[in-house]
Amino acid sequence: MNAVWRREFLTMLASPIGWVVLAGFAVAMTVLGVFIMPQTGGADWFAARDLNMSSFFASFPWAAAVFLPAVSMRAWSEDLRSGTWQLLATFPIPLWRVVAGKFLAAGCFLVLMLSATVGWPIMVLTAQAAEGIPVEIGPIIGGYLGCLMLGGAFIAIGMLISGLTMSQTGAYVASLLICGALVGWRQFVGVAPEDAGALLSAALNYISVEGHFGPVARGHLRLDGLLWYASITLVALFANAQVMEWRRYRP
Amino acid sequence: MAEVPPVSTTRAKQHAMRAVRSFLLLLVAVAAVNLAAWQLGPSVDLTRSHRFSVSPATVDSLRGLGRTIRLEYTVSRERPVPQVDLRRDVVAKLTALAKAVGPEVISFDPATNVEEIQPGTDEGPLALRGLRPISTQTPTGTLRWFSNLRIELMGAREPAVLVIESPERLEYELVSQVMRLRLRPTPPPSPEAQLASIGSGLRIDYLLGAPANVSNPTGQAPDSMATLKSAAEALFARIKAANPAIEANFDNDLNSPARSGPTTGGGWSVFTLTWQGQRVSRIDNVTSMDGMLAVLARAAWELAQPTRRVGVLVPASGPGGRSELTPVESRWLYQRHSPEARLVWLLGMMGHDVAEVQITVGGGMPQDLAALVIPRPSGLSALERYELEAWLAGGGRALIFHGDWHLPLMDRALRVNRQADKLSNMFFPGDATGVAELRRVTDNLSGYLSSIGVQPAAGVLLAGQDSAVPARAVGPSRRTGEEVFAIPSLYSASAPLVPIAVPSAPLLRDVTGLPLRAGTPLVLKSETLDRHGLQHEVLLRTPSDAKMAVLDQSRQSYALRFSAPLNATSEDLLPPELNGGIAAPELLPAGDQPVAVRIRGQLPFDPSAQPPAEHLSPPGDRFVPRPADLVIVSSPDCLEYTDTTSADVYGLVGSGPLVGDELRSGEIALRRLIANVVDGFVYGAELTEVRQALLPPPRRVHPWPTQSRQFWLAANFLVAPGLAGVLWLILAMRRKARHRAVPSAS
Repeated sequence: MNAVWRREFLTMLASPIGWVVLAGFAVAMTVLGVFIMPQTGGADWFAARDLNMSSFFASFPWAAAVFLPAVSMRAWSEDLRSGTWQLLATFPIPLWRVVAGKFLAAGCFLVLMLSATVGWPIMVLTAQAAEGIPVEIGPIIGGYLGCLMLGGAFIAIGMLISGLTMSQTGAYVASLLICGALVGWRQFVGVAPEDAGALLSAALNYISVEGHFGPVARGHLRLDGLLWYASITLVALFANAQVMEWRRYRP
Repeated sequence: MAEVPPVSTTRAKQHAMRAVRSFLLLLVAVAAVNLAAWQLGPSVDLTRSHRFSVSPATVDSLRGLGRTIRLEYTVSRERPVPQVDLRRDVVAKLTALAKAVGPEVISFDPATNVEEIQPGTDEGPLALRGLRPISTQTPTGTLRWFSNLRIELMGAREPAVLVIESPERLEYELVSQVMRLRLRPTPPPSPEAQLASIGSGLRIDYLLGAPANVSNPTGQAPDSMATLKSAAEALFARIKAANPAIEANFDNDLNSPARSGPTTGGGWSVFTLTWQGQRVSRIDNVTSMDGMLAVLARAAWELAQPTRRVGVLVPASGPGGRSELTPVESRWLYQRHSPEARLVWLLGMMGHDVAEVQITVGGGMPQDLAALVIPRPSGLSALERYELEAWLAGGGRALIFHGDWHLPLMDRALRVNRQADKLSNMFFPGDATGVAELRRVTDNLSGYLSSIGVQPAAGVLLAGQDSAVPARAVGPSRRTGEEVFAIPSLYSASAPLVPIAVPSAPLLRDVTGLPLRAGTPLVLKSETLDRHGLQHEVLLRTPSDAKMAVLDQSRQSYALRFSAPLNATSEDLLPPELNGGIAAPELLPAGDQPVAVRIRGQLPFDPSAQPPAEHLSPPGDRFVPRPADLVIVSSPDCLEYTDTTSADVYGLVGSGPLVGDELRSGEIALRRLIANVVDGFVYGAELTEVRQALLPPPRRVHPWPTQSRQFWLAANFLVAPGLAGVLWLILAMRRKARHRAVPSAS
């Protein structure tokens, strides 16, 4: 697993696409967090003077839905297309270790992407200190933890899609649509779940990213929220392992 | 011989079946774990201010009550999608609260004290229990749903019902309501004790009688006239024995001039209770005296309790009588949400019994007011001023947003401010030079306030040096005639005219962002105050760098142009063509000056003087002087911020105590000011102190300097991608170097 993880991670670092994704993510988060999300009647984050990272964390699900599929699209598609999958399939190791190694590599790259946004917490904490107010680091820690977990879930979904197709573009688009739907269904679906009954309302609300990510980003860590991300990640990785195992046996 | 499928196909199928089974099992296990976690929901609150958990201050406040609180939560099964988790979160919060303070303080069991309302339930019985619905717009229509918390405090007269839309506000609103219940007096246990506690001032009249052809005055079966008469006499004896100071009159003379009231079934049997000659309560259609002592005692005790009603004064002249309003303001502001209506809404949201008050000829001031709020005294008639003075001198408590100048509304971007429904009038039609107009407020209370020792200064406040004020102005100097200012920018035109008040007393210590639009320093004349024996306390002051433009009070309007930074020398603020050659105002330092004061004591009033209406007679002996309690805030236009969209009454939800947005900052400060003063009038200081202990005071954040903004934007946009690019280059060069080294090694 270590060998797989190291190889995958170095490949991501060596590829120019990886660095474009990293730089693009940092720029996108700043654009969204400063100019789009604040919604203060035309003013930006600086004019609003909120001195917190709520608009930054509100931007993350959208940015993650766009950029993380680009990280995970190569996970299996490249191996399937280039033929290196045959080599992996004959390795005398369980495939789930290979899956775990690839996931770990993508996760490390996600950490690198989030590290590229370190300017934000420094900016906020510096400003809070300059105003002479007690620094609130708890919501920032909670927010980044939520970003890691949500990002991990999106990566796992992307890896599953990648294992189903040899086309990287196809894998990217499909992952983008699924992750985007998870993030945005409550915004765009005008369905009145109230009419569908309380149970369906609760179920539909439960699968929404907004319902789980919002509290975490404000400093309220709930077990059900963290379990939700872990569940999606676990189910997607398990399915991924089963799909690749099935491919191993296919004629 | 049948063809045998290849081994790989068979194994693939077997694997697929095993995989599907395992996957389904995993899904079921995951769903069960998630459901359990969703129900139980342990959580960690990472915030410093305990926004998502029970704060120690709440626990201390509730434990300090020394009484048990019983809670019942009623919620609709069907709720809007964003509120799906509300029931779980509220129940979790109440359970945590009950656990933190202990069962001897809060009685709440999720199994028995949570009621779920099914769809289609009739709202009538729910309304009888005091439950109030919430209306939410959904894509398919309006959804009416319930989320109410019923609070019963042991020993309180009645329960309170809260509407809960957010678990974040629950803690504070619960404590606030419990405190109100505790502060309301509880009647003594026995009727005799209730009567004895009243003291003097109560008169009870009983009228019993019928025309000759009606034997039973009530038209109903029970006691005869004779029985009622003797029972009433005995009852009165018991009342007098309990409290000899009570004036009790029994009148069964049909020709008595004291007879009054409507008939009942051809006759009458009516108790009328009058408290201090003003407040009246009637018990009509009395058919039996059994139990009447308890009924009368309770009614008398309720009547004698201090009123808690809050009034908002609406001048009789209406918007048309206010000369300071522009046509745009009359149309947009007063036809949609007048400051009075917005205040009534806000005070109602704070839990007060509130009503609009108009002083009419012959009607005078209502006598059942605990407090009066006067949003902007303007266009008051002589009679209104007279009645207000009489009411204040009779022990009135009032919050007055007073001012001599009005600054027409402006927003920051020359468009309708959707949050507060305001229209910018900063720029006159066709005038793009950025002139702000100040208009004189007439027929206000300036003369009265001056007579008691609180003199509004002759000018208007301006903010001082402020790096966030990019406003510039243009206009000729009075002395040189040259252009001395630059044109103000769109987004900051209002900034120099709104210094932010600084709290200087405990009552308003959490009012940290009140904008003093069109404010004026208050000059306290010690001699006058001492002569009247009035105590004074400064509640808010101007910031240390404030300036004041000295204005000619005889003018009706000024056109102001202003500069940034403001300097300390006198400058011409008027273009000569608008000023008509009249001397321009000076600019004086006005730092640390009072802008909100509290005056307590006996206010002057001559009860023998003729009122300004010929048909009215002076009150004379009917007037009873009592000490007044007056809070004067010298900034009438700060009320322009009051909006009617946010149910977050005290500024609890959102980014917590940090408030950067100016409008929101001003709104929160205004709400805290109104809440603290009015709660202080109605309930005393304790409720305000509890609120200040539970809620951190909002901290107004200073604007970002331009350089700092540019630095951080560059850091976030460029540094990370730049570093990433440099690292990639380094790694790429190292790879190339390794590849070149391999052939040479071989």
